[in-house]
Amino acid sequence: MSGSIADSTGRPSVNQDAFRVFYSRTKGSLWAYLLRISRRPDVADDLLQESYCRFLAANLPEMDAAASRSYLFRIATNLLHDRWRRKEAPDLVDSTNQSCQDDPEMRTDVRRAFDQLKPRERQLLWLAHVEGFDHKEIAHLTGLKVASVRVLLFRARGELAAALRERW
Amino acid sequence: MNQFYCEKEKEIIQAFRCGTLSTELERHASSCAICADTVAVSKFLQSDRVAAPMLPDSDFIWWMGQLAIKQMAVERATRSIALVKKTSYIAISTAALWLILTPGHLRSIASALSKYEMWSGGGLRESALLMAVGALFFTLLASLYFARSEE
Repeated sequence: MSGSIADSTGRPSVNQDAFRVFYSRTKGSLWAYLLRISRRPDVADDLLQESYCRFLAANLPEMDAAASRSYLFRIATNLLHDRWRRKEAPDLVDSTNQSCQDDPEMRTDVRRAFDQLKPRERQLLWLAHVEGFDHKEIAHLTGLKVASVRVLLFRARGELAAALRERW
Repeated sequence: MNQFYCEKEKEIIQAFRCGTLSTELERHASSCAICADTVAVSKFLQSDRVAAPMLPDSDFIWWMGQLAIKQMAVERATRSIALVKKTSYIAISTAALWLILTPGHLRSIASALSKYEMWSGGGLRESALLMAVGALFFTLLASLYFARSEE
């Protein structure tokens, strides 16, 4: 069943069918991002719903899929920042259940190396390497300057790479 | 390439996202420290995928979004009413505090009221009247301002 929702001025917003497609394409990657940065599945579940609700309520102009995805990740990033500001202590995710490699012990160890990075570092690495955002997009998502993103990403990457080389 | 960034970095990341790293990029990464780190991190992160659990249905999220939109609309509509209420309370509280903290004025007003002489002149009555009119005027101005800003 399709339907479009108008805002208070009567302008159509997001179409339900279009949202269904958008949701199916982005929910997995968004949830994975929220999980790896917050390190809590319950938080990832909550923030996933909150992100999409805010996306729908934003009454955005027409955007292509890439811009919509970028905006969605920006909302999610802001929600994560709100949590950090409230200083909610993250719990480590149980690494043993989620490995997809042959050596669970090694995967646990290297995943711990990633989990021990600062939230900002994990965030930058995930946005760059997993989601494929470039430095300019990451700067827009996180509110940092492009030059800062480059430096912080360089340092985070160096730190993680060194930890990975030790363990592999 | 500068100290913190290499032009090939993005290509390497994209290659890992697509699944394959070309020979040319591999050769470059073996001689570039930044890209060597990029390869190591990309390899790890791309292989470290966590399967998403059962996530909510899109229709459920859609209707949650519609509820959020309606709730925001209600909050917007009642915001000016709440502000006017608060402004009125502040104005009334200020007038009440003035009367309580200056009991002499209150006694004079009460005495004048009992003699039905409220409008017969005197600075005290004028200042009390001025305060009341001022509070009312301020409340009206604030209401108009917030009502217009809502529009």
